[in-house]
Order: sequence, then C-alpha cells, then structure tokens
Amino acid sequence: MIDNLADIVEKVRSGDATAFTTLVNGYSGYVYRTAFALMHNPQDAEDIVQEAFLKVYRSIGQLQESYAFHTWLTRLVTNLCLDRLKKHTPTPVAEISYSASSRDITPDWDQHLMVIEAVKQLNIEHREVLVMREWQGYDYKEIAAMLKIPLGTVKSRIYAARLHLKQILNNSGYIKE
Amino acid sequence: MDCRAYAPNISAYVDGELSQAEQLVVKHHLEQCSECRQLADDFLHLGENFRANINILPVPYYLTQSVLLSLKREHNKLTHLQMWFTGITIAVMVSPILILFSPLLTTLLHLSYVAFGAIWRMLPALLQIMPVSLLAVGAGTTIAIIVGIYFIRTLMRGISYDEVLS
Ligand SMILES: [Zn+2]
Repeated sequence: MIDNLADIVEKVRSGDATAFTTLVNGYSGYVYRTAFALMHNPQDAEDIVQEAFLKVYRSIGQLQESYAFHTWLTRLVTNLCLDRLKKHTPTPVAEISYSASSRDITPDWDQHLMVIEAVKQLNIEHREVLVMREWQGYDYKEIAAMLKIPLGTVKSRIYAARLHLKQILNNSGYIKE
Repeated sequence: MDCRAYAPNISAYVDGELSQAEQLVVKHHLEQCSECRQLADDFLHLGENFRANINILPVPYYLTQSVLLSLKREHNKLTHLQMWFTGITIAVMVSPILILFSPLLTTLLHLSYVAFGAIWRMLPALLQIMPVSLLAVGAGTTIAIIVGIYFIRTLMRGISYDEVLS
C-alpha cells in the first residue's frame, strides 16, 4: 500500500505530520474495507476508521519495530471490530449506497453486489472467521487466539462458513467465473 | 470413509492447516475423487472471490479528510490541555514566593495557622465529643488521593477516562 512503509512509520514516530497524512492516505481504504467486511454497516466502518487512526496516533510510540506496522494495524483494527461486534449487533442497513463513479471500477458489478450481499447474510461468527482467514490472512492458530476459541472450533467454523457462503451464492444464481 | 467425512479436512487442506499425515490422506483422496476435488476447487475460488470483492468495496471519498480532521482536533485538544497543565504547575510552584511577599496573604496565613493550632489543641476534646473514627478519616484521605492521581493522569494524557484505566 505504501512503498517505503518503514521509513514513513519511523517519521510518524518522530512526529512528522506529513508522514502521518501519507499513512492515513495509504491505509484508510484498507481499514475501511476490513471494518466493512466485518461489520457490514458503513457507519460502523467509518467509526472504526476514525477510532483506529486515533489509536495509531496515540500509541504508535509503543510499536517496537517499524516494519511490523501492517501486522500491528491489522490486529488493532480487528480488535476494535470484534469489541464492537461483541458490544452490539450492528444495525442492519437496508441498502449499500454506491456512488455512480465507483460503478465504473468493475464491469461485473452485479456479481460484486451478490457476493457482498451473501457475506452480509452470514451470521457474525461465520463472517468473522472468513474475513480473518480470507481477507486478513490469519492462520488458524492466530484466529483461535484472537477469538479465544479452540483450534478445532476454528477449523469447523471456517468449513461451515464456506459451505454456507457457497450455498447462499448458489441460491442467488451467482455465476462462477 | 465416505466423502462427507473428508469435507471439513478439505477446507483445512486448502488453508494448509493439516498435519502432514492428514494432508497426505486428503491428497490421496482428492486424486481419486472428482467430487471432492471440485469441493477443494470451490473453496479456493470462494476465497479468491471473497478477497477480490472486499478489495473493490467503494470507500467514502471524504474518509481520509475526515480522519485527518479529527486527528487535528485531537492534537489541538492535547496541546490545549498541556498548556493548561503547564500553567497550573507554574502557578503552584510560584505561589509560595508570591505569598511570602504579600502582606495580606501573610496575615491570612497567620490567621489560618492560629485557627489550625486552636483546632489541633482542641482535637482530643472534640474527638471525645464527636464519635469520629480515625478509620473514616483515613479512608476519606485515601479516596481523595486516588481520585487526585486519577485526574492528574487523565489530564496529562489528555484522553478519555475509560482509556486511562485500560
Ligand atoms: Zn470424495
């Protein structure tokens, strides 16, 4: 996302405001998408982005190694989302509003909406493990530790989540490329 | 073993999360069973699809701007608090000197000294009259100190209360 990330992080740690702007520019999209994938609510996702960067701003000094920033941020965002999910079930939003300009990004927009809609239909437990595994790339051990569940449960939950997602997509007439 | 028993392991297989022995068993089965091969393929595709679709989720155009704005507000709040704290600290440090040079304050100080001395001398008698337990006084002081430390920490960090404790 940012080429010379370690340099930028180092500058941020020494209080460089421009470097911080670069960091926010480079990562706010990633943080938003992660939060959206987990919460499935644009407002919650925006709040998470705000909270996440405030946390980064306050505690980037505690980060031991600059190159570990990505891992650190991912974990920070995941924890913020999991906390929020635990506290309240996100209010379902009727429709995801997409602006006209973003429609041009992908030709198979209907397919995209179908997948996003399918992920939304998953229950929170299934969505959590899928996002952590497929999007964030955590391994089973890390997921077990973060969710505080046994390793076997992670395995069976990911399997169940995949089956469920596959089933929803099949029922909605999703065409596999 | 029928195919349904393999299915959960096929999911873990595509993630590379099986032990070497389990992996060999699944691999062997996949070579023979087209149905399970299809399932493994579906799981792999599902993952790619999932990533690709999250990756193109539209992000609000104002997102970066609003983050930077709230960070600026946070920064200003911090600076403001630090200024206040420094001011109060200096005032507290300088005040004894000012007091020494102020005749009115010297008089007040003297009066309070006398008043406190009188109360101190009367204390045994007062204690006999009023059933004030020393334990209550101690507990009160401790609470006051804890609350004081708590507020000073909050002030110095300039962040919300729940985060001071976390
Ligand atoms: Zn089979």
